[in-house]
Amino acid sequence: MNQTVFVVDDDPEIGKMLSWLIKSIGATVEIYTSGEEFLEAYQGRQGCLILDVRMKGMSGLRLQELLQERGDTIPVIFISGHGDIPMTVRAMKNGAKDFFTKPFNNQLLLDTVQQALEQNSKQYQEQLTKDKIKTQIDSLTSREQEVLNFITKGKLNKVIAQELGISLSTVETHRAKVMEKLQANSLAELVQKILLVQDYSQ
Amino acid sequence: MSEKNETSYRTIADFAYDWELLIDQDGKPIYVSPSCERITGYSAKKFYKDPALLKKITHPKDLERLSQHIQDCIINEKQHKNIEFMIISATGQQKWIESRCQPVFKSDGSYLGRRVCHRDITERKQIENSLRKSEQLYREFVEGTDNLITQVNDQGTFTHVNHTAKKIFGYNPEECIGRPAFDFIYPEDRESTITAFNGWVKNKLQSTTYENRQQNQRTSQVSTMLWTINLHYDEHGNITIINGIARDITELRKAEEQLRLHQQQLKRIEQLSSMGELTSTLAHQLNQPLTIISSYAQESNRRLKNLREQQPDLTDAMEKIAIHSNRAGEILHRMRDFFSMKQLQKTPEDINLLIKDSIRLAEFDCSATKFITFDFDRSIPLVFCDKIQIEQVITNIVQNAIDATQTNSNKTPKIIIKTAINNGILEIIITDNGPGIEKSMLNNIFEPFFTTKPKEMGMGLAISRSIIEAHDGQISVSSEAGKGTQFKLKIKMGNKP
Repeated sequence: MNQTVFVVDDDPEIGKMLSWLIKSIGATVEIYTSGEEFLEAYQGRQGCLILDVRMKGMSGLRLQELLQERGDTIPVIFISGHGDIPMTVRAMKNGAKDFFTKPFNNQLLLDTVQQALEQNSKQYQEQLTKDKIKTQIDSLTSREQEVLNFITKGKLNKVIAQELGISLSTVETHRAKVMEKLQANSLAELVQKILLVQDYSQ
Repeated sequence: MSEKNETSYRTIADFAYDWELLIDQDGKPIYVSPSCERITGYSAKKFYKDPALLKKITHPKDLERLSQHIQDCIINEKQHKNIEFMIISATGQQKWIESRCQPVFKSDGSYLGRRVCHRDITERKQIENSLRKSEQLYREFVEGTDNLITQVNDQGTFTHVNHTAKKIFGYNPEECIGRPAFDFIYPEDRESTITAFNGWVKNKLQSTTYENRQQNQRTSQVSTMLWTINLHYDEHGNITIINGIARDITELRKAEEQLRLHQQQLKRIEQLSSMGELTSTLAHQLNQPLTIISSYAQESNRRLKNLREQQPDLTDAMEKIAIHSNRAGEILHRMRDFFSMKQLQKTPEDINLLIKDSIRLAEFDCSATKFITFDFDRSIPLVFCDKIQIEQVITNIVQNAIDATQTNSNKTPKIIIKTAINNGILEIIITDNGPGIEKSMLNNIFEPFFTTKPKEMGMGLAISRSIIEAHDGQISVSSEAGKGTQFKLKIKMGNKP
């Protein structure tokens, strides 16, 4: 998976320095000097965001809020010339990964960047899994989906047959088809997959 | 009596100026001088013919009194009696008559009758009357006013004070009279007042105004008085009378003092925040290169350490660069903390009132303030904010609006200050119809040292932004060339201190 560390700071020298630093851990870096410029180039790609709090035009905090409003979960790390408490609280409440005051300790920042990338990667993988399960569920026939509903509620085949007014062997056939389509080896695995998507859909 | 004597006496009587009468015991006229005609318009002949004529021309309201008088004269024949009464002359004029009446006796001592002298005193009565009216007017002026009115003689003691003395001096007017006027001056002002007074007398000043403090001798309360003083001198140039009228301006002075203090405070905060903003900007500007130095040093050091051939001198030096640039950064942070205005003094404020106050206090050019109109939402509840700081923001933006609208001479300046509540957020919107701000500048106007005015430092809007952000709020600007500029302040309501 391609991940990029996006750096947004209105001081281009800070951007260059961060780029040099982050490249040392083997990550791809893109630098921008304003929130607007970043948004135009970003287009929802994977990675993490290092954001200066106070910039000309759109502030870092505003940019973070904007991303949140769009449902974008890219991890955000703030760096600020002067981090006062209310500002930090606001950033963290909005889900910032961390908040660094300039000058900062390189190692701590790099560690946080690593964590942020891992978090982003995990989120991405989860998303892929969820998308896959959703596709699998969508491939079920409506009868199979009905059966799946009963299975996840813990109903026995016998009960399902009775409720749906079909024979036990038909239920068993549907059940085998569901297991196959959702690539589940056991009932436990099946329920787990369903819960993951249900959680998602909520 | 010889005929010659008789003639001369008659001549004297006939040419008497007053209306002379001689009346017998029964009240009938024996002699009536011709001057009666001048006074009454009726000839002496008519009075001889009709003894009741006098009563007939007497003013009805005086008739009873006159009849009583005549009755008394007849009963007490030896008495001298005087009376004043009014008559209506033949031409309808009302005239005042003073009548002196004395008994006349023959040489043998027998009672002959009465000699009466009627004198026309109309003119005197009129003068008396206008005097009385003027006296009454004067009383009403002097006693009806709240101003303090005093008269002091050449000895420096009160000869007259009006009722206001009770409030200012603590004594009734009659208690004040005879006391030295300077005794009532507030001790701190006594010497300067005496010095000023001596100066007026020396320069023979006729009138002057003076402000000093007087003290109530009972309650010790001090009143600030604004005096108008008239000084009178005799022909040798010695002071005779000093008249004073004084207005109590204690409250006025108190209000002025409060206003002055508030303005002073505003100015001080302004200077302080300018200083804070300056420091903050400086700190921010220096912090950037320090950050870069620090990070490059750290990374260089890490890479040096990873080299196969160790360079302890270089790694040590690199480490020092990193440590010291971090230290410099910390100093900057502390400096910024020291000057920052983050300690807000939040109090519940009526925001509309606060805005009006800031316009009033800002000492704008009078001709400019008349273009400001208010569009207030009256239902806005109290807002927790730092009054002085928010005032500073309002003043700042309005001053910019005034400056902007003054540049275009063809257009009538218009500045609107609107308040509103929107989803629990207070909005203050200041709109002007000035030339607007160029798009390229809009992004920078909140930056420190950004200004289009040659004499300004460019801190106003930077400070305004800091203040609004410290209130957990937002400040934004929109502008259209040729149409005007709009500043919008948003502050969350209900945030407690």
